[in-house]
Amino acid sequence: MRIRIGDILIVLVVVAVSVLLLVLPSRGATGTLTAVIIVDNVEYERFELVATDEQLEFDLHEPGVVIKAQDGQIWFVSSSCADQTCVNTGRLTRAGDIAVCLPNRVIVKIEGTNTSDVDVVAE
Amino acid sequence: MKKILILLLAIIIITSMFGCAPVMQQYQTEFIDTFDTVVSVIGYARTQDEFTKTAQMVYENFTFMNKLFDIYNDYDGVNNIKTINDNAGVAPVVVDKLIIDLIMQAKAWHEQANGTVNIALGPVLKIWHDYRTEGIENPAFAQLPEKDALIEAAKFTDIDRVIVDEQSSTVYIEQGMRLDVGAIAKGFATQVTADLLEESGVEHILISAGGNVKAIGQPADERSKWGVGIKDPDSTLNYSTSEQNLLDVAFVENLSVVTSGSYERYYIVNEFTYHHIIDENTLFPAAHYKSVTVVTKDATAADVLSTALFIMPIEQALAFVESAGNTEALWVTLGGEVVFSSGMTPYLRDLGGATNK
Repeated sequence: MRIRIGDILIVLVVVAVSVLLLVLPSRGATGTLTAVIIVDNVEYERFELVATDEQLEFDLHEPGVVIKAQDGQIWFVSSSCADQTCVNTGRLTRAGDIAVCLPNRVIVKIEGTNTSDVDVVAE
Repeated sequence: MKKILILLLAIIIITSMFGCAPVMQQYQTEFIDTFDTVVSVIGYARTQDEFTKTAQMVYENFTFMNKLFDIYNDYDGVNNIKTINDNAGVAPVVVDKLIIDLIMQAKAWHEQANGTVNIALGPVLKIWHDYRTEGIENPAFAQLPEKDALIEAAKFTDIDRVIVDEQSSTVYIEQGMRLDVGAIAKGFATQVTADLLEESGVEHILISAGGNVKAIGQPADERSKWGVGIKDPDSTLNYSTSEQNLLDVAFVENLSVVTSGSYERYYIVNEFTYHHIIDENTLFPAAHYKSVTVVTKDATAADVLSTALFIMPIEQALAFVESAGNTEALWVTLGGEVVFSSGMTPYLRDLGGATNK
């Protein structure tokens, strides 16, 4: 049996397409969003953030931090801290969103496939 | 027709054969407790374990360097910047090589950036820090520092009197002096950590030390560049990747992107805001811009320059960036006008039409 140019081409195309399919994970698909609450660098709560009107409320340790989750959003409602940076961050809605209260040592974030142009913010 | 069928079949078989091969997944983690901010590690790894190892390396390096560069706390068995300050006028202090390296780089930058960034400005910065802390705690009683006290403190801010002995790894400052490495430490820690990660073969990772961003390699998906949002200084959101928080998006690989803004650490006295970036000439907060964003390779340089370019007036700042080479910057003036250096727009999605391909 003789190997022809056409055969080699086919093999090359097969390998190239296969490798491409394997190497490139898609950024298009939106999966579920998971809300994560971290206290003192330890995970405190993790749950699927679904767009229902069910409302979850978390009252965290002594100084008083109130976090709410509703309609596929999660946010700091109030905090005892002086700077109020966490409350001013507003509502988290998308994968990669994060709100931090340094004085009370609480981080709230949303995990999931980040489908936006933006990985991180310089600020 | 038959050939095409065989071709498709072959692709399916080969793809499924390697289906169990590890594919790069997106991961992200955050930690607090270092440099008074939140540090994020974002990127791609084959497994959760591989990513956790990378994140752990970042955490350990940041934790160690946070102790070294701390000016407020003591740590068992560590001589840090506070130890140097506590021994002002007393004795040279033996310190880790990383502290020597940081101070030598800071001295070089002080010279290069016309004195705008000075780690010996500590006595002046301490006064502002104390008034700011008090003003945030008790807004009704917020006050400005006494001008005389600032002028007196400024007599002890000569960086040439920070005596470094590289041989014996010691640092000595005179009575009344005080080091404050706040304008360089985060960037330095980020760069040192990024170097270590690269040496150990890590690729496809972003480190963000409270918005001081360093990209290692490229994203491991169909994009060839990371998207680093540039915060709109008028936005009240923090760290949000949503468009309403952003002025523009810079697409970069292997670069550092850092923004300094008047919105970062400030307090309010009689309805005027006073932020934390102090101009050594006026001894008051610099008053040219709302924010400055720097794009350059080295994270230490990006951090230092974001402060230096915030303090320089626009003509001087532009000239400085153009002469620096491989550095670009974007300023938002107090009037809201956006000014950029000649090579900045090719990075920008909105203002320059850049893509992440």
